[in-house]
Amino acid sequence: MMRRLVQKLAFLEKNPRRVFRALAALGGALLALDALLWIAGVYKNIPVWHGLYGFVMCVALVLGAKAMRHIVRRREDYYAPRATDSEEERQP
Amino acid sequence: MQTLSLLALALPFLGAAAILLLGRLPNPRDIMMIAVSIGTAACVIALLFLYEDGKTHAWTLFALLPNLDVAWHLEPLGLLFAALASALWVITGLYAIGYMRANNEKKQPRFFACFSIAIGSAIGVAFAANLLTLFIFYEILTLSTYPLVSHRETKEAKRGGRYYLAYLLGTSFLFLLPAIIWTWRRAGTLDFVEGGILPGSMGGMEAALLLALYVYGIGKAALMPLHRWLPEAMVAPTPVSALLHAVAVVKAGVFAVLKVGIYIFGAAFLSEKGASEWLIWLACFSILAASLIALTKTNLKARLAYSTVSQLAYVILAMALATPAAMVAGALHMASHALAKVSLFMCAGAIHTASHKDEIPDMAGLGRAMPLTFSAFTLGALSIIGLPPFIGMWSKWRLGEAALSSGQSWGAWAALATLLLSSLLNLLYLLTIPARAFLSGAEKRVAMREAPFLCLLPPCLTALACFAMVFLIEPLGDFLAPLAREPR
Amino acid sequence: MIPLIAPGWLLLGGACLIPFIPKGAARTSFMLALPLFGMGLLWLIPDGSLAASFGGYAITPFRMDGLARIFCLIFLIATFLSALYAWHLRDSFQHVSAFIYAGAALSALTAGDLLTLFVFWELVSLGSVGLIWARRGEGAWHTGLRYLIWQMASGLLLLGGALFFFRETGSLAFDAMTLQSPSAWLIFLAFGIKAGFPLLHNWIQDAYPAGTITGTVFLSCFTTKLAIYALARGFPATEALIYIGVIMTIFPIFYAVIENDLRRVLSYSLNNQLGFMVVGIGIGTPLAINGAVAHAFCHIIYKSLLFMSVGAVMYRVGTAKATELGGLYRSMPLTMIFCVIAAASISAFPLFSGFISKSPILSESLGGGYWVVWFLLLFASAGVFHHSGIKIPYFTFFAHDSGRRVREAPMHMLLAMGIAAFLCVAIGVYPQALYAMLPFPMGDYTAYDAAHVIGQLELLIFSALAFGFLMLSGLYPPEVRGVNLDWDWVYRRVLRRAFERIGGSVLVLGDKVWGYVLGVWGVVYSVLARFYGPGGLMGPSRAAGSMALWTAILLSLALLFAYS
Repeated sequence: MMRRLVQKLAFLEKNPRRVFRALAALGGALLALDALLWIAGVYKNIPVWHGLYGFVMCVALVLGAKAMRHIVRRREDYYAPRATDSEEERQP
Repeated sequence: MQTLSLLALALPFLGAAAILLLGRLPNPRDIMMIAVSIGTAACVIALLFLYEDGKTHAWTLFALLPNLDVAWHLEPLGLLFAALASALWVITGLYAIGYMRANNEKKQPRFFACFSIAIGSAIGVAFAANLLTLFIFYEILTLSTYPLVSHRETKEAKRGGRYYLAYLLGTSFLFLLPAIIWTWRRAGTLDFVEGGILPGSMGGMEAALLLALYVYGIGKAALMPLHRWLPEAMVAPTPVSALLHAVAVVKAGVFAVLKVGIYIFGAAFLSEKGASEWLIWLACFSILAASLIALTKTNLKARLAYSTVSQLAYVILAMALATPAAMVAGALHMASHALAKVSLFMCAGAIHTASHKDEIPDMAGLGRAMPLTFSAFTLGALSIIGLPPFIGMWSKWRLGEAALSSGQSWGAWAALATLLLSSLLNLLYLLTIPARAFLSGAEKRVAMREAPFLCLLPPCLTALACFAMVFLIEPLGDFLAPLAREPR
Repeated sequence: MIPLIAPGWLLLGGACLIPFIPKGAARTSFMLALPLFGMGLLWLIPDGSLAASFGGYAITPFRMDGLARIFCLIFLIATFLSALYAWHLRDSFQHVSAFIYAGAALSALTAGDLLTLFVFWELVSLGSVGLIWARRGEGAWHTGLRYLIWQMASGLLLLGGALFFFRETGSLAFDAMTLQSPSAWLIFLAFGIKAGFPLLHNWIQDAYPAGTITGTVFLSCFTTKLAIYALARGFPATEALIYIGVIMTIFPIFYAVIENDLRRVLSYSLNNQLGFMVVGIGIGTPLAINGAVAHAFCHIIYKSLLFMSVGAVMYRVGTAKATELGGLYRSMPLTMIFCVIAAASISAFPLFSGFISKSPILSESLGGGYWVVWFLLLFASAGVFHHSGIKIPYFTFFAHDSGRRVREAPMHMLLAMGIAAFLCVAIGVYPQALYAMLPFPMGDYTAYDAAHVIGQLELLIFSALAFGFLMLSGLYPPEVRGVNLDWDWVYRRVLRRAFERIGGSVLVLGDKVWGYVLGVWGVVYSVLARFYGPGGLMGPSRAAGSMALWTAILLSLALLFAYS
């Protein structure tokens, strides 16, 4: 069972766009369901909002962090020898 | 009780004579000393139990001048100090025997005789019924410990001894003596009286000035900036450092400061006139500055010496807060610090005896070879830092509580902040030593190599006492309660 | 009234015995038995408290109620799992440290007064630092020291607060307080340090990646959650907590995105999760507090599971740096599955534990009218998924193949991870069991209604899409080695340098002054020696000279007293 799982994952790893498309399809379906339920009056939430907000904020988060890295990143041994960052990680 | 207290006073002096007589026979001599120390401790502890609050226990030895006797009396603070000095004498005595023999020190008869005299005079200081008696024993204590400090008779030892003598004699003659005379002129007596003898005889400014003379006159309390003798005296053999810098000498200093605060000025008088407010700030400064200097020292004994300077200032801080509760807290801290610091010094000596290492960086990884010594060191350090469940936490707690209820506004905050901050500093300069000793160089397997039994047992005992004392905190508080009583 | 020993005291007692049990199966079985036995005790102990007096203070060394009970339960579960995970370890120092740590944390949970709390609060610090120092080496030493200073600072603030509290009220009872007196502020700050409030948080990200593999699993469970418990007990419905909590959820996620050390990513994420709990406590309605408590409960399981899986990788590969890992699903598929389950839980996927505990907090923030808070929490939720849910498993087990081929994690680690993963799913599927144990009744609350489920799924799927989009378009910042400056730069670099400079010059100055003093004394001494020393004016020998000096002094003394 484990071997088949690994094979599946290896296949997906080689075809990342497939994964992305599957996800996008799932997302689309969710949006549709959300809108349908809203129209049917099952609940009063703002429809579609969670999805858009999640997408936009995540892109903003990553780009913001990327920009921040230009300011805060230093060499790994910046705090050495008083930190473990640049130490060889040898542990029992 | 009179006989018993006189016995407690005289035994150490008689013991010193006996030690000199038996000088050439090491075994009988040392057994003699231990016997005398046990006898003295037994006397003092018997007094501790016989003491009844409300009764006067005061006797005169002889009259010097009209209204001025050489006299002794019993009161809780003095009994506590005497009990500490005599009980720890037994332990440091055992330790000293082990240490002096293991290190082949010379002139042991003189050493042990002076040791005994020092304890005797510490008990004299503890029992003194007036300032003059206290002064006399205080000076005997200085003189009898001078040969101990310069015991090794090297150039360095002599130099350390000279500073020791110059500082302590200098301050006592320049400041303490004038202060005593001043007190005599104002109050007409030098007796220690509950509630003080000075109230009503002088104003706030004058009291503050007089207090300054006392605090700096009692050089043994090592308040900054007159503290340098303490680290300089570290050239002495370690048992001396343990005795001097943890028990007899420095504690005689802070004891005298407390005694002057309680029985000469009176807490109520000090706080009413605000005469000791300046001292709060100075004591806080002394606590923090000495801790910071201790951080920079790599010699173990020097670091411990500065730690002592810092811890003594706690007691002075307690006195400066000038409330009865603070005085009790100060007395408690005197006891808790004595136990913890004597353990640390004895551990330092044990390390020296077993491995001849004095520098802290050299001790990394040594914990594997000397686990017992470093465990005792850890317990002592935890107590001084003020971590639970050791006695040091309680004295700090009480001191903090007293600071908050002292009625000082900024002073209370400063005192509390200092207490907390200094705990952090203590942690940095004390706990790191055993931690590094245990944790560094773990890859190598090392054989156990502890100090001789007599050097090892005493620090372990006192370190355990730091813990055991916690269970005595309530009876101890009750015993010291008379100090916190409003004057009649 | 309580004839049984408290679970925390049991663990502490057990910790003292550990060194005397031979290393190996006997000792590890003993260590596993302790928390199990503790759970039995917990089941037997009724609600109530034990009053005592110590050193003249009325104290309550033991108190059990709903809030303490559920925290005790999860702490015991965490102790068991962490000990199982550490089955292979043969290091007495770590064993004792870990059990002192866990025992002290449990005892602190059942402390009914500030004095007892302080005692165990400090013991928690002392026990836990051992798990960092046990890594050994220069870096771990200094990191542990920094960690210890922070922890001690927290303890000392608590001490100061307790003293003020006693002064103000004459009692030491530890119950709900309001932020109106110095005592409350000091205690609040003390809790705040351990709970990782903004600017007081750096010790988490500094120390946890520096602990030992098994030690960090222990560390991730107790200290911060003890602080959450203390906040829930001492400061429920304190509005400041809402805003503090929101900041805590937001800023760590930026750091988590760019951090390379995966255990540090998890530490930032831990900080963010604490933020959710703090917000829940700050809102303070019964449902919100229940949410915070439930979230702490679930969080301990899935966060320790994450640390376990990353630790297992570290154990096999030797590093936890994203740049060095990747493609490990081939070698460690089971570990990968457990990691993904933990990731799904922390991201709050429906049917996993995080979902059922986070939902009450989010709905209460909306219900309480905190709109902005709700928006930000939603953003933080998406961010959690981004760095803990995707980044951790993706960069460890997928991404570019690092080429490393190692063995699957050892059996005991798999077992510990398996149990934790099972709990994550079980709680997610059947939340009623957890809800029933919460301090307040949950009524008919359910996280599983259409609005919640669909909204949450949408948020997560579109966050994943965003990740995919950024990856495929190459906008995603590549993993690179390096450290990122956080607030701790101020004290690790700036203040340190300043202190070294200033301290150095002060010392030099001090030595100079002392030099002058010595010079003056030398002159005085030589003058005195000329008069009193051998061959001097006042005496033929030193002894006689000093004798003369003393006689003179004593004579003048007597004169002074006689005529004054």
